[in-house]
Amino acid sequence: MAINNIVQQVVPNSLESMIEIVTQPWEKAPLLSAHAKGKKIIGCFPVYTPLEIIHACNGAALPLFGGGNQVEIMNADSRFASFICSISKSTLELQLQNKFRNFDGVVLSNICDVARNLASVMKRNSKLNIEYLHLPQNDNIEIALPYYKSELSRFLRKVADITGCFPTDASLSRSTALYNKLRGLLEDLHGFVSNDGRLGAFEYTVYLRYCYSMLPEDAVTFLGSLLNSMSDRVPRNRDCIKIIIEGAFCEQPPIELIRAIEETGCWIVDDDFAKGLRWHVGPVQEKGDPIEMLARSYFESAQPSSVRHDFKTRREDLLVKKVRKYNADGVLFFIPKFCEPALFDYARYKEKLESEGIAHLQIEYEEKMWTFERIRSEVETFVESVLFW
Amino acid sequence: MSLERAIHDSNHIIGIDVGAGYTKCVVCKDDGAMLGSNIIKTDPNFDKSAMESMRYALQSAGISQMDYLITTGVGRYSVKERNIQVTDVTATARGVSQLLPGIEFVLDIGGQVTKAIKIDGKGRVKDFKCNEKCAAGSGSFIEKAVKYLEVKLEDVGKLALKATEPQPISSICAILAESEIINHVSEGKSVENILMGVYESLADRSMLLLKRVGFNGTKCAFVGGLALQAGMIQACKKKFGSDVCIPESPQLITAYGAALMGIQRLKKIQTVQA
Repeated sequence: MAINNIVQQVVPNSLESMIEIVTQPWEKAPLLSAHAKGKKIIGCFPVYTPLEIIHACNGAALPLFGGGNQVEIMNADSRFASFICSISKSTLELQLQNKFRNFDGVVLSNICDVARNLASVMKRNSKLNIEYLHLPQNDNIEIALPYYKSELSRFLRKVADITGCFPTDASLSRSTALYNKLRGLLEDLHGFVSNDGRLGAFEYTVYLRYCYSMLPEDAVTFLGSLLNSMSDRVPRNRDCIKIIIEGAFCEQPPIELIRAIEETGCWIVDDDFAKGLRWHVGPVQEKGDPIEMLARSYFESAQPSSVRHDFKTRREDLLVKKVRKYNADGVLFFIPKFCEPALFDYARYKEKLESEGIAHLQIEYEEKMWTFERIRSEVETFVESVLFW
Repeated sequence: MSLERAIHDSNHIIGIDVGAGYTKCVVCKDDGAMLGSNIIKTDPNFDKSAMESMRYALQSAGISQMDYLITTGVGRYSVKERNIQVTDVTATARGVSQLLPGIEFVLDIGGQVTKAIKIDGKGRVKDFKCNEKCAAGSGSFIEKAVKYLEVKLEDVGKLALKATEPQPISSICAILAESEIINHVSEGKSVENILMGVYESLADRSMLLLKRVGFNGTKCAFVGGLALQAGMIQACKKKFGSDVCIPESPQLITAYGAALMGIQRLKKIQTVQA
């Protein structure tokens, strides 16, 4: 798709060029050029990082999604066992191959045991600022909110040490408003995916990741133009089944795999790809103590996820609700190889979906894949079983 | 193509099987009756082949409009105008169960792939296996053999029936099998005997595939282009030790099965939209 005259300085003129950027953001992200203007570049390991804080500290936050198909594992195998997920190895490999040379820091968090250890291994192997965000482990106790607020304050100070800029409350609130705007526009764009399919999940995922490879100010401008161009498109009219994809956590499937799934006759009305980039389901409050508002939002309006410790929500019930909301015909579980949180969740989801009579299929993938014939055959059979039997 | 249109017009459903060797197209009414069909050689541009075959099939049916297009075969994803695509295994099973009710096993020998399929009473696939090694187990191997033996493709089936001492072709690899054919020629073996040897070797491999899906010597349907060749039918009957049922127009079965699935799907869409 040609996207001309949108944001000439930062927007490439084809989807393929955007794919090149989003699959190698550590080298090709437009926001890397902000380094020359004095901004510090902070890489963020999935799933969730409070990007608002980094922005307010005059940093440029660049979400990372592992090395994908773009890096050959040559060194990381000697630091991690063979049964460790691909994204952890490829992220470490990127660091060991000096691919993070444009970065001033990297943020990791305790989303799982492997990610927790990855932070320590990266610290031992680099002079890069590796910051570790301790996300709350229990949201069911009173101290959870004060704890997370103090952790975000600590995180802010650490980021400010890297960037050399300690933000005021006003600048924090402005950053919150900017990211609210960005997430709101992304949700508007997603409406074209889920409502009438004029935009496919594959293309949406590319735009989503591309937006976060830019500075948020540029991304807002880009999305405004993109949304305007949606009226030129026609709604999906090819026969299909509506499906929801669940479970893609931090390790992303190869982007072409999403296209292959759509080709089989799946209309992906909602998905779990790059979940952290659509983390807050509603806007973060812009009035009041900005750090407290961010902390509250984490507990009150964040996406349910295996990697967010949440004892109040039954995610399997939410999944069924989502199926009903979109009138979906089934659910595809995308489970990264060796991902324990995904596998633990799958058992709960599977039991619930079967009790509700909702069709589902489990697919195992790795970020480093080039051929999708096996998966495509499985999904095609699933589509046929829903359409014809 | 808009699905909306289908609600208002009379229903003409098209099934296209874009195979590696040939593209087959069938036009059906929504009661399953076949109105027209076409078979053409597949062009490297699958979409072009499909559109061309569809144009001829529509001409033969005497109609100009379609309401639902369903594709199958190796080039099924390349047809831009399609409403949906299905795998050739599913489509073949559906076509066979419609035309030969009660059949449990199907052998489909196509240009590049040979498939053994086990189906249930409703035409659903219970199991299937495809040839794994190489083209020596498929129709294109016959085309190669014909080239070396310098006979016309349309004559080979009948010629093979005159064989008195079929010459075995034991290689799994098509290249090595071709060498064996050349050896037989240089040893002065007759074309008829070599051809029947080729057919018997194909039947042998097909039998192995059928056994892998549980073939027990009961009736078996034989479809695909090779099911038109008398020599191949005889070789299968001999190797399988059972009845080999061949439907009318065995080359079109997969496209027809796809069209039947299109009918089913269109009815469902119209019911939901009504």
